[in-house]
Parts: sequence; structure tokens; C-alpha cells
Amino acid sequence: MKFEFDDDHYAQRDAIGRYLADNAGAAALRRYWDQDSRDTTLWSGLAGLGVLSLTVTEAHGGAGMGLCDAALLIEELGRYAVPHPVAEALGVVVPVLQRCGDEQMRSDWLPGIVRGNVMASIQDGWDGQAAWGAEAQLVLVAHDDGVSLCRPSPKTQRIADPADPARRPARLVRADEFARLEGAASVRLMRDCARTVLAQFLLGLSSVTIARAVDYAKGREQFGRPIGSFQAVKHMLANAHVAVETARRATWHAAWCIDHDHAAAGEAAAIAKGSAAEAAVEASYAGLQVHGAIGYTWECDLHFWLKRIHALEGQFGGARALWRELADMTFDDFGAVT
Amino acid sequence: MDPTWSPEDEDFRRQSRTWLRENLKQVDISHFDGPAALPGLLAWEARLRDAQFNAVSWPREFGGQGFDVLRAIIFNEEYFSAGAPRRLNFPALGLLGPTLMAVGTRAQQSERLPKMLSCEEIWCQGFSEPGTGSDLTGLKTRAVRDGEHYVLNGQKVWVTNAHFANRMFMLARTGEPQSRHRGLTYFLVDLKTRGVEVRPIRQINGAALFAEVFLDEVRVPMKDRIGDENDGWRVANATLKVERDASRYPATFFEGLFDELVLILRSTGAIRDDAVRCEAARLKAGIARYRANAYAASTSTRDEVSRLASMSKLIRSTLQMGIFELGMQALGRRAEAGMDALPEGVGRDWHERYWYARASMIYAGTNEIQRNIISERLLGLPREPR
Repeated sequence: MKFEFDDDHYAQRDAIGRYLADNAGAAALRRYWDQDSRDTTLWSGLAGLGVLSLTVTEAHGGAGMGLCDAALLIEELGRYAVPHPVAEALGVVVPVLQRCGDEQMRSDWLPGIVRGNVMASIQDGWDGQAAWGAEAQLVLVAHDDGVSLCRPSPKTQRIADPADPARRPARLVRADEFARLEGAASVRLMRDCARTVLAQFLLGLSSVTIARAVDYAKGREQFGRPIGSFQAVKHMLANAHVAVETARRATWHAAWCIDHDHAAAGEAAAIAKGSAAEAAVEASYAGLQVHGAIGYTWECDLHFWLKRIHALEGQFGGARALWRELADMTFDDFGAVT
Repeated sequence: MDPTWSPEDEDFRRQSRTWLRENLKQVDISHFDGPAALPGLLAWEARLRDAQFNAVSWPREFGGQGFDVLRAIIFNEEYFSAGAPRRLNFPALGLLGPTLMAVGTRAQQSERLPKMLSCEEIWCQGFSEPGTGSDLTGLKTRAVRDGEHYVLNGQKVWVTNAHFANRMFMLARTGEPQSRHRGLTYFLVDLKTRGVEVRPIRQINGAALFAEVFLDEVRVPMKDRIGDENDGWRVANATLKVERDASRYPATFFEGLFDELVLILRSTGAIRDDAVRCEAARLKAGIARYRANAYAASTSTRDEVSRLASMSKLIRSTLQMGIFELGMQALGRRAEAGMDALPEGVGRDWHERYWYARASMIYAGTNEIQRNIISERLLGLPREPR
């Protein structure tokens, strides 16, 4: 029993964090928001640092690690609201191809992901949308009949006026499918991976949202003192902080269950995503409320984080849907008197 | 990262479970409150002592079993799963004992610790006063040095366990009236001393698990001062920190409550209600988070994890109340009428225990005080105006 990562994991996270501090964050995001940028330098840069090869087996040029090994790093990607589907590729596409795909699929796609010249993304159902779906070379779509491998075409629908334009969401359609992983197991794995990874990314977004609000509350004075000294303000932030901090280790547990093909993976992933979604919505609420009107402006960077939270909160199940699903896993019958 | 138990740990868990199940059958712990409960609780403590299970987390040099942190977690998980009673001397085991180990003299340790373990001395905590609750540093009970004694005058309130206790650890003011935390001293008081009067307080749930304690010219010998004069705030904070520690409430405590909740939901049919099902699942997720965080807090050596302990009291009380609230909603009008309408006594004492659990949001620093601590010490927000 050891519910903690090694120092190596933290060192790896910190190294990537330093790169992101120089190459990602608010100023970079503003280009995607205001100039419709399609810049993929960040994707290539992270591939160059080995982020995208982390979970790829050694046979295909990767480091052969599991989702657990990527947990801290994925949260770090969330802290910088990385616009490209990096977390989705390394935490969902790669494990699904490796565990459910055939050798042809693996050798077709994994080396390209490792090198950074294949952008891979994910989509939650035929009515969902994929980040950078029109620019990606490969999109996995999870639906009732399996997991479809798709590539964008002129039929792919760009989402007009999306909540978060930096994500460049597009909807892959059935005509974009070129191969399929049949069976419930691949859908289950993709769903569990996506929930776990998105939960970690959401916690990264949330912790920065809270940190920004804390900074603002320390500096902003009203009634002759910093607003952060008022309980109405600080208790709101304390509640959001507790929600984020406690959800984190639920996502680690889900990652471990997936890595070990544990029977509890479905339940653990639902708990991870449901908890992170609730925490993120609470952080989003507190973050904006503490900033007041200045947070409500386009000029304030805060909304990049808030809108990403709301773009991801419902992907592969929002809190309400996941609690319902968890209830169905827990209460198998509808509870006749025992 | 490996959230699994070794085969040796699993063996230990099975042994603990078997021992608890067999031995709980042998004692009468059906009474919850009042003098009638005492013989059963003493008999239970004797069994724990004989089996070397009475102070699993205390170091061996102080008479405990010195289990490593994982074994202590396992035993505590099984203890709560088995439905074993609250420990008779819990203020001593969880608070005063560790405080003496940290800041007491050798003489104080060797005089007091064995008597805590034997239950010869049963302890209660005297911190709050009528004018001093959340703002503990304003307390007014006076202690004045008189030769080899201190003379104490004042009043303590919300003294938990006073109905069983024969001793009280407490804070009194030795400094100037306005000296706040700088003028407090920590004392051990024999409740049989002349001038001490204990008056039980009947609680919202009808029980009387805490009391008022009046101190009128009570003489306390020098040797029963813990730490230096005017250093009581530091000594007490060692205690408060332990009181808020998560390890005392394993996840199985909440899982047991959740199982009872599910019985109520099934028995009342509330489980067919979509909103109730979702809320129950949400609570289940809360318990899973609690378990993960408790394991992390116990097995990680990273600094940031010690920060989890400051949150545990808030998390624990909120989770516990969430479970009781949903049960109350499911019971509906039965909650008022008593539970005779439900088969097999399901939910019979839920209403009474609901109130008992509600106290957790108030004691040991209200949840509002906890949020102050989290926002000021963890987030670094400015102190509120004081």
C-alpha cells in the first residue's frame, strides 16, 4: 500500500511545467481565441519532449508507461489549458489502440504519434465533437456499437461559434470512419480512459482558476481591506479548494485500476470524472464571483479557463449523468424490500 | 503508487476481524449513554487491553502496540466495520496521551500514560467556556500560583466525556486578562478535588454526553501543569492538531453508515426515486474520495499531503451529514413518528443519530473556523478582521 507517486513523477511533471510556462498559458491562448490560430508548435514541442510517447509501448518507440505515470503530467497540461488534444492522445487514443486494436493499426498510428506528426483526438458519440477534429489525422469516436477510427474529410462538421474556440471542435461523421474496434470492451476502455484523463485535466484548470482568484482577492481592496479577508469570499474559495484537492486522488485510483485492468475501473473512472466535474464547476463559480465584473470581461484571461472547464465538464458524462450511472452500478435492482 | 494490501496485511485484517467479531459478542455494549453504559465499556476496554489492541498507534515505549501506520489503518477499519463502541477513554487515547508524549515531562508520562491505558483515569477536555467557543484565546478561567499549587477559578462548558471522566485536561489564564494566546497554561485536574462541580448538559438528542464544569478555588499541584506557564497555547495546539487528524475515522466508518442508508432507501422505496439514487451515488463517490485521501495522507511523505489533514474535519463532517440528511429525507414522515412502520427495525434510531452526527460540524473548531484555517494557512488569504 502506497498511495503516492515517486519523486521521478514529480520531477517529470515539473520539467514539463517549465516548458509550458514558457510556451503555453494566457498569452498563447489569446492567439487561438482572437486570431483563429491553427498553430501546432506546442503539439510538436510536447512530442519532442516525449510527452506523446510516454504511454506508447517500447516496441513502437515509446516509454511504455501507464496512465498512472501520466496522471501528474496531465493535470499540468490542464493548468496551462493546453488547447491541443495532448492529454486525449496519450491517455485515451494510445491505450485504446494498444489494448483493443490490431498490430496493423498500432504500427500505422503509434509511430506517428510518437514523432508528433500524427495529431490524434477523441469524440464522445456521433453527436459529440473532437478537439482539433478537422486538423487531426486520427479521431477515435466512442459510440454504442464500438470505437470508430475516423479521419476528417470535407464532410466533417466544424462547430460554429464554440464555447472554447482554442479547442477548434469539429464533429466527425459516420462517413469519416475507416475502421472500427468492435465490442463493448473497447467502448468501455475508451470511456474509462477519457473520464479519468479529462478529470485530471479539469483539476488542473480548476486549481489555476482558484489560484488566480486567490491572487486577485489578496490584492483587491474594498471597505479598506483586501476582499480575501472577508469570510464570504474566503469560505467560497476554501470550499472549491477542498473539492479540487480531494478529487485528485480519486483520479489516481481510476488510473491505477485502468492500468491493472481492474474490475472496479468503470466505477472508479465515473467517480473520478463526477468528482472532478463538480469540483471544476465549483471552482469556476468561485473564480468568477471573486473577480467580480473584471472577470466578466473578454480582456481578463480568466475566461479561457472557465470556458474550457465548461467545454470539458460534460464530455463523456457530466456529474449528474455519472452519478446516475454510478447508481445503476451500485443498486442493481430497484430495491424491493429486503 | 500501489493501492493494494500485501498478503501479510490481508492476514492481519482477517485476524483482527475475527477477534473483533468474537469478542464483541462477549460484552454488553447495548447501552449508549449514562451510568448503565460504563460496566460494558470497561469490560470491552479490558478485552482490548488483554489482546494488545488497546493503543495500536501509541509507541511501545509508552505502553502502546506501536503498529506501523498501515496496520493501524487496517485495525481501525475493522474496528469501525465491526460496529465496536466509541473508546471509553478517547480524549486520552487520541488527545492527551499524544500531547504528553510530545511535550510532557518523563515524570508526567510515566505517571499518567499507564493509567490512561488501564482506564484508572478517564479523561475529558476542558477548553470551551460560556464566553469562549470559536475564539478560544479569549478564555477567562483564572489560574493563580500559590506556592506549590495553582488555584483555579472559572467555568468550562461542552466538556465531552465528562459523564464518565474522573480527570480533565484544560486551559486556564495565567497571564494578563488581555494576553490572548500568550497568557494561557495547560493543566490536568482531578475532578474529585474540592471545589469542582460537574453538571451534565442534556443535548438536542436527549442524551447527556457532555457537561459544564465549575471550578471554585480548585488547587492543582505544580506537577500537573503541562509545559511552561503561559505556554499552554502551544501545548493545546499539539492536541487540536491530533483532534482534527483523519486517521481516527477510517473510510469504513462511512461505508457502514452508507450500508445502513441503503437499507433505509430500499425499505422505504426511496431508492426508486431518480434524484435519491443520484444523491446516494454522489455520497458513495464522496466515501471513495475519502478513502483515497486517507490512504494518501497516511502513506505519502510529501509536504503537501500534510495539508490534507487540515481539511479532513470539514470533509468528514460534511460527508457524514450528507448521509444522514438523505436518510432523513427518505424516512419522510416516519422520521417524526419513530420507526415502527419499517421492518426489522431499519432506521429506528436514525433520527437520534442524525442529531448526534450534526455535532460534528460544531465541535473541535466549527466548520466555519475550519474554512478560515484552510483559506488562511493553505491558500494564504489575509486574516479576517479580528
